[in-house]
Amino acid sequence: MKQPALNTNHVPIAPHNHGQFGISVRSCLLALLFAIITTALGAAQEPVKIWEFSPYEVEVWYSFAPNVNASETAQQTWLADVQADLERTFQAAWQVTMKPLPSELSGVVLRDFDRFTLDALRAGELVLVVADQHSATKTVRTFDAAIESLTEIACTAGIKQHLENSIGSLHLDEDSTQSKQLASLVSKCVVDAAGAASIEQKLKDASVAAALVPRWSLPQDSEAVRPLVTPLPWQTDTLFRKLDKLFFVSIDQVGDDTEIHVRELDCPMQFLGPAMSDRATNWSYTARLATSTLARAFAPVARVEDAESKTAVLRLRAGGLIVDKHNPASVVIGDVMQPIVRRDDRNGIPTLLEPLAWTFAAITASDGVKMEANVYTYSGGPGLQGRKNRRTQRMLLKVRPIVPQTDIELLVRDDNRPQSGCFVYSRDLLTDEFELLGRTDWRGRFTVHVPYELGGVLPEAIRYERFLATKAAEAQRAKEASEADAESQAEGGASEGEPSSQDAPVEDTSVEEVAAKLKSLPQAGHDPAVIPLRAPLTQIYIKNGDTVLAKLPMVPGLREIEIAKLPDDTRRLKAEAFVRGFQGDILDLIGLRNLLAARIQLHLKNGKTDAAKATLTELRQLRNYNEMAAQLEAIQRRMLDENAGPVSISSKNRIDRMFQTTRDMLQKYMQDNLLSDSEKAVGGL
Amino acid sequence: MIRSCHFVDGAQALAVRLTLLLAVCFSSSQLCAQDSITRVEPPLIDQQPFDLITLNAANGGTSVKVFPLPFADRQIPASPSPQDKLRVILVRFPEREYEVLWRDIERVELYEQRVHAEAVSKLAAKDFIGAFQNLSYLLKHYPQMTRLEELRQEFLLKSAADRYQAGEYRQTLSALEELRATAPAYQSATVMRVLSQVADGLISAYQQASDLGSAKQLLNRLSEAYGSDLPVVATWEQKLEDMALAKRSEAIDLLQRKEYRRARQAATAMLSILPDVQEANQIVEQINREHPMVRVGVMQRTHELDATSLVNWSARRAGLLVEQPIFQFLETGAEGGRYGFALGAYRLSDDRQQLMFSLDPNIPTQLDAFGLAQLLLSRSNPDSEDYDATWAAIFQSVSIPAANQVLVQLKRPNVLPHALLQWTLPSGTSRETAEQLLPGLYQPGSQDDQEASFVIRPTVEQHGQPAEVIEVFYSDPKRAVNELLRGEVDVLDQLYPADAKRLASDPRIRIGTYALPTTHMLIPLSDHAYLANSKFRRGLLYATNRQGMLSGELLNSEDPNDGRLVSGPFPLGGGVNDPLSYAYNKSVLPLEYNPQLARLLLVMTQQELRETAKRTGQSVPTLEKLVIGCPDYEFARVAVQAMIQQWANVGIEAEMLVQSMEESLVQKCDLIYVTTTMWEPATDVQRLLGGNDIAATDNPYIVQALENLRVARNWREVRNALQDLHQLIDYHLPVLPLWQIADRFAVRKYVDGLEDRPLSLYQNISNWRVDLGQLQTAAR
Repeated sequence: MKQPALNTNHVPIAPHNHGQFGISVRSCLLALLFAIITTALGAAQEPVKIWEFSPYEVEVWYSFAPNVNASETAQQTWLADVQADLERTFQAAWQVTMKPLPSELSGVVLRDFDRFTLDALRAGELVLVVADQHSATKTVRTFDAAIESLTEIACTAGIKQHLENSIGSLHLDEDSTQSKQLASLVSKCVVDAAGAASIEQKLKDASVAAALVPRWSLPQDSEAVRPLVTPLPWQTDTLFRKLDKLFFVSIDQVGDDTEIHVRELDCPMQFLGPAMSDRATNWSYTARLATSTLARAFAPVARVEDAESKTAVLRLRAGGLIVDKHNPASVVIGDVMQPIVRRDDRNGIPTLLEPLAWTFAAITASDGVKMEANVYTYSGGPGLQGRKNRRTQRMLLKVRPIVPQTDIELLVRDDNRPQSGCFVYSRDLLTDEFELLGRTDWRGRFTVHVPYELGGVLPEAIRYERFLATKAAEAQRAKEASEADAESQAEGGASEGEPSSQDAPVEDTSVEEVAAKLKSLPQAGHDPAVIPLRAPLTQIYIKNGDTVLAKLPMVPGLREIEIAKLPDDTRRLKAEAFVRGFQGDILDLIGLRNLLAARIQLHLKNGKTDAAKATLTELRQLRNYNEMAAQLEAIQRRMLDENAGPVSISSKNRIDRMFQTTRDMLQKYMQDNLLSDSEKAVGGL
Repeated sequence: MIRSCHFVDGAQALAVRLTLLLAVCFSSSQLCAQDSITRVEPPLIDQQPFDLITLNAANGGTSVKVFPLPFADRQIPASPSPQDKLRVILVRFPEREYEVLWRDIERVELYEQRVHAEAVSKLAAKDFIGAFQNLSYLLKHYPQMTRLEELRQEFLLKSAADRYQAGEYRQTLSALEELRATAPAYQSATVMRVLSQVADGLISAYQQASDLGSAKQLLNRLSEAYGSDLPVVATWEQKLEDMALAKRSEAIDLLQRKEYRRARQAATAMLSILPDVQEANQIVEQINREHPMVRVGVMQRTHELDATSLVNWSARRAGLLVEQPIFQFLETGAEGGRYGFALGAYRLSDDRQQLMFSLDPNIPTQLDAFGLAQLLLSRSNPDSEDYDATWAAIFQSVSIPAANQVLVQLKRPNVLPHALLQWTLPSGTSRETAEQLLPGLYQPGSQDDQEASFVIRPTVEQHGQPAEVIEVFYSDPKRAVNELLRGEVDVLDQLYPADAKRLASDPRIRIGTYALPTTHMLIPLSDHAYLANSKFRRGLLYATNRQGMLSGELLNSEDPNDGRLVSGPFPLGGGVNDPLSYAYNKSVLPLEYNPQLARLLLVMTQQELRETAKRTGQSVPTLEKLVIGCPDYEFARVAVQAMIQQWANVGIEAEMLVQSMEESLVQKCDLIYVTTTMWEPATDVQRLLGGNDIAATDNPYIVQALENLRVARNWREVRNALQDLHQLIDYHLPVLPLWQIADRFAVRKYVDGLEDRPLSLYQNISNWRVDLGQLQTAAR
């Protein structure tokens, strides 16, 4: 069983410790101390794993393609070289074992190396399922309990044979607990000659208590049966508990080249990374090539120690064992990590395992173990905050962008319709400037390319400080401007722009404070506080008309497609289109009314009565308040017409607000006495 | 392109705008008042006539304006008695009559004398236009005035001399001939000498321009008018005859060498001088027999060839010669247009979700059912170079149920899926490949700045249709008309409306009108800060007297069939019952000309931009001079020039940039004048505003309205979506609609087969027949 990692308090982080790894002596001493303690405790108790001082338990499953131009000996030498290279590269951060890819998995893995899934990998594994309604299984929740309490486990003859063969190939010590448990399992297996269909039916009928079935044949009706985590030694459930990382390595021959393909499986998070590959013509280079590809495919892991809405403190796995900042297991300032959440039930069975969508952390400070990070998450997203308990883990994996671009696909949350025509902006993480990238196409897709320059970020504390300083400076400027206005009005005649003693700077404490704060604002040139990013972290904004639909932090190139499900905004946008246009009409009308009224006054002043009367006629012919209000009403009715499709409550409220605002403006600026005043003026001649 | 994005609450924005508006209205009323105070004294001839009485020094020596004095024959009494009184009405106090003693008067200047004196001084200052205006005024209102005829003759001679020095021989000749005709005795020797020099110069110029026909016409006229008095006539008649004979030899030589274009030019030149020579007739007939050709005068050069272009008239015109689109719009119908399928027949299923193509094996093309299916598939693939998003959005799958059939399944019902297939094939590959797949009857030949030739493909069976079509470019429509009249060109495309009216009376010419109108609009292109503001764009429309321009300098016609204003990019057709107008929302009226409101909107835009700049801490954008891209043809040039003048009146400076052959205007312009052939709004508006063309809009409201149109399942939904779209385009102005125009062409009657109302000039080119023998009659 994998032991729970302990929290430990370590050296406080030196702020803005760019690239300085002050690990070394203190960390090594601690590691040594820990080693002494665990040794002293003896083998009776398994060592307690300390997160930052436990190396990654790594297995590399390799497969040589039959056409590889290397003899058996050369392959063995190659493997030894890779193992040695890996140890040199990762040093104490990894404990690596190399094994051939199990033959039963080679089909799944090698058929589509870039895209095979965890489900495909596990499809052939055996699962112990218990009938939910059977009296003997009511309290059975684990594999161990099942083996202990059940008397019979149904299976097919093939399954039993497979089980026996697999156990036999393990060469276990007969006296070991594991051997005894497996022997017990085999002994309880009862072959149902009628086959898999019969077993499935019996499970549904609860006429058998339990059965051992391949995962792919698990009954769809999950209410009748309950699958248990089945930690057979050769199966992934065991691997997931034992290992931190599992790498699949395929060595292939393509023409004169040897191609190396690598994929990482993060075992605790059950997360398959992207496939990395490289090729070399000379066989002697390929061992080193494999190591570098493995290093690229490897994602260091960090754990969330503490998190605010925009920041988090992280702890790096095996960080205490990394003495070289070039070690691929290290995470340095500017790296970007993606969080994954795992939530287990009380039996340690994961009920939730997924990357946190549209959420990333950019490392802003690090002492090699403990790290500070800015957290970027979607609008309304929790970031890395969340309920803290033993069964919920928030881990972060360093991102590995592999494709040159990522398509964002926007769908309507309820019915998965594509959201086409939404405008996609990117917002600079430093300057907050927006750049219009384009709009989603008919599929709701927009392609975000990996930028040439990766940009940078400011540590959140500094950014916030500068933000406050800017606000204070603006407020101060506004205050000074209004005071200056008031003074010039009071003096009543000082010409605008004329220099006076009043314009001279005045000693003011608040201004000095603001100025001091402003000094920390980024200058035109190099800003030492800016942290250059090492991955293309981007903040994407989705805008529909005047409304921002979503803020979506992303790393372009991480995946080919990222899907975001957003609320349906089409009705609101349509209403906005008409309301905005109608407001333009109102503006024109008010302008015309005032122009005509002014013209009437001018005619009257010049004694041109007939012209004034003619202009008054023009003024009367303009649309009046009632006509405009009726038109607005008609537009509103149309926009909210349910015959054209349902309107969500939130959309309806927003639409109503838009119309009410326009109606208020109409009342304010069109229900005036302009016409009657003009009529009086003309009629009073 | 970086654009700042400021998310401002809509209500706040509206409140700010309205507050600004009222502030601006107040200031604009002051502007109105100020405008009325500033007055400029009009020219003398535009003022109400008045005489000027100057009192002598003893009475102050002042001059007063009085209403014209009632002297007999407007002659000032020679020696009035000093004690007599002159009764006058002062201009300043028209209600009363005053009396003034003659003894107190220093002098009296009559109004016509002053106009005459002003004309003389203008003539001395070589202000011939001013002098002419004064002279015209006097000739009209005071024809009996003494010294007037003397002034007229002096004006004619001096202006002729001036024009001669400026090298403007035609004006010189005109002035001298008028002088000679009306006053033969006036400096007779000088006039005839200069007349001879001018005639010589003019004929030389015609000769140098190879315009022997005009030279001959001028000689004939001078010979009839002056005979032997003008020796230069006889000299030139001999010279021209020699030239005609040289042209005959040249034509025969070129014909033998099968250089038909040049042979025809030489024969035409010969015919224009010697129309009755039998040999000329034979040469022309031989050319016609061996290599029938048609010369088409065009106002827009053919930069590119695209038979399906929506915004490029010349590309669409000439494109049809060299390529066939898969689908081609043929005519309007009750529900959308009728289309021709280049490969056979097609049928849209009743549920509008399946499109069946039946390929005719007799049509010679390399594109078979598999090729077509592959093409339809490729156009829907985002990774393909030929990707067409509009097609991809409706395309579900394609199958080949039989060897000559292709069945397309659509994602959802669509009223006109085939209208989206107006493709030339395949756009992503070389033109050579396209020509092999669906070629037109002609292939591009030689091309230079002035002429582009299209030669019939060797594989096309000839039945007398033109073997060669030569497009001749004219920047000056007058010259084009003259060359049509002379037979240098046989057809003239995009005739200027006024020219069409003039030519309609010529028995040798037939005027045709294209079946469907073009819709003209301005398309904003740049990131010009003002242009990005919808109020400013609305201001531009308010500042444009579109109706005045249309009925005035552009069409010289009030007939709505010639052209009418539109409030959207959709054609209005012949009126409300025209099926072409199905997209047009008739409740949306074109904005009326209102320069005051335009000015108001401009000021509001300025204030709004200032507020925005203040809020964002950026510098206030200045109103840069707008650059308007203009296609190189007269109608557009006149329209753009007129708009520039009208916009200047409200304080918006602009300049015109005319499209040249070498480079695209798109990158250099803020706005571009575009003539669109939007005959199927249901799909064309997607191509115009939603595609990748110059008018593609980023306005979210328009984008969404286009999406609504795209998903419309039946004609009711399509019409509703289009009506909404029209309303929104009027509200937000992603394009500035101007007018629809009925375009015309002129054709010499010896060209047969060109319909009176074709959709496009070369639509039925295979039916054209040219009888060049009639040139002889024409020349005669």
